[in-house]
Amino acid sequence: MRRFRLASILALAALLAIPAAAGPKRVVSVNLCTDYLALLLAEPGQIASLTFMARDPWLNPEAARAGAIPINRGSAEEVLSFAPDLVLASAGQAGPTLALLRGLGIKVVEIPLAQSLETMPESISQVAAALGRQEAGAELIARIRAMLQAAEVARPAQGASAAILGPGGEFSRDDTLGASILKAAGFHLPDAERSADGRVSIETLILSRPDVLVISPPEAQGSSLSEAMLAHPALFGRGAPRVLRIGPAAFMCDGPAAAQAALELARRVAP
Amino acid sequence: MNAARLNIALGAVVAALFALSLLTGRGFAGFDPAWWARLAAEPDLAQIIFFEIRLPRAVLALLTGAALGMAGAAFQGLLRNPLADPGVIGTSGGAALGAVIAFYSGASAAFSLALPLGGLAGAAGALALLFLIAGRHASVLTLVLAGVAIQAAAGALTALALNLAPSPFAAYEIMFWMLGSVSDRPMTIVLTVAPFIVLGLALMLGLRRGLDALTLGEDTARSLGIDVRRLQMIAALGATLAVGASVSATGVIGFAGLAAPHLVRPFVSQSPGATLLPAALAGAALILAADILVRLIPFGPELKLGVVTALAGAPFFLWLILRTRREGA
Repeated sequence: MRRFRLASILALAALLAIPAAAGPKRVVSVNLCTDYLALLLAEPGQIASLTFMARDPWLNPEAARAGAIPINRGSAEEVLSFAPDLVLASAGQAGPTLALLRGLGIKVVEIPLAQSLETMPESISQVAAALGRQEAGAELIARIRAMLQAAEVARPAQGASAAILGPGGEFSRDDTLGASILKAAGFHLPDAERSADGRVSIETLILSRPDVLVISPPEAQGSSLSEAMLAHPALFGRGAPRVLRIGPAAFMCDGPAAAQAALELARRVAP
Repeated sequence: MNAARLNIALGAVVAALFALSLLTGRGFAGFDPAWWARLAAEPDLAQIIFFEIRLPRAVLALLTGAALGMAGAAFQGLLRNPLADPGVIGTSGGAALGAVIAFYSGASAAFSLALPLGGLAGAAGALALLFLIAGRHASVLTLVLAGVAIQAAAGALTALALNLAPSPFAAYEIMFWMLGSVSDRPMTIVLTVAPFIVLGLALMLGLRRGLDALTLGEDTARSLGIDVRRLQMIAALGATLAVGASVSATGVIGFAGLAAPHLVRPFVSQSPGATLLPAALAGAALILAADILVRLIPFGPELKLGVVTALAGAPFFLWLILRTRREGA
């Protein structure tokens, strides 16, 4: 009897000793940018749910891999239905949902995202650490750094001014990822006052006289007023700035797509 | 003041505001000589700004104001109700719903006339629904209540349609449709809706005398040889064309159609037919002025037109209700 008890105690101890520090098994992402990074960094089967935007190739460059993963719309109830052991969100994501989830004892990690190319490695390593995939994170950062170095080599010595126009407004305000990408590609921002939410009228945009207008995504996928603005005739007539079109979702999130955009822009401007 | 002089005076005001609208950029740029010097130095830029941005904006503001003003006068004459206006009776809301469905489903990308036709269908549907609910001889109260119900339902359905639209940006554009704007609309849209608006205005204007006769009562009007049914149909059609097409391009702009006829009525006789053209001009002046104002405010994102018209129009509407109550009491 005693031997049986001893054996069971030893077995129990052995089980408990298995490191619980293997990464989370059921990760739910409630933000488009964390969707993207999770798809890039997580192990297969680690992700339990992504947002509904993850399957849209115009919003998520890794959309092709998101097909089989169940989607959520960011509500607490949906998140709970996946029984997550980790929730990934963007820092300061609006609404009471994250506080509610924390109050229920779920681990929620908020990552500061999409601020600049300089802060990108930090954001990526935070996501990688949360997922327990530090090596994958380091690899991704190295890949991005290589692309940015190539951009530095390819860009012209004298920069033109450029502004980015995406659906919903201008994305090249100083503190945005878009501005950072333009700078990495060798552009500088035109002088213009911008309203607080980044939505400028076409007239203000043209009057700030950028040499180059970067439009993303290249073609509007659906109908909406914001997307229709990307085809406004005032952007394309004589005297209008030169237009460069860059792939979908290039300026929205941290990740290789942003670095790729910087590289492409640098090359297109190179003589 | 007789009607002709009023129309000339209003016409001059509209022309002046139109010119001012062409000169107004964000902030007080239009009044800054350095800005003008810059445009002179870059004629290509100036050409783009005037022809692709400011001209369509001014034309759209003018046509929309005229449409709303005249439709308001027509509805007030038709329904014999001083509170009638395309927004109050639900026509604008219906037009916005039709336009949203036409635009966000991608139909107007394939077929550009789908946009004004959508607005038209929505406006016509709302008007038909109004007569269905309120009946032919409805009291002021019934008409207004029915209109409020239709406008509310149309607004809710518009929000739903925007949420269900395939584009991820659609849901954020509700402010445009609910409050209205003429900002950054390309000339192609203006040219697409303009013929419908002009046709609607012409139809309504052609019914001047009939509308005057209608105020004497339907039987009296019939005895004067007016085909009352036909008059009502064509007036409704004209108003629907004008409102449906303009809302499809600008969203719902409230109160202009209510205020414009009342502003001009003291200067012309009380006959509704005589108020049609002055109301159109007054409406055009109101929308042009509102559009200039939203551009002159130098801070924050650009206001929607409906905000300005509501700020002025809501107190006006309340005063009108009080006056109507006092007279009715």
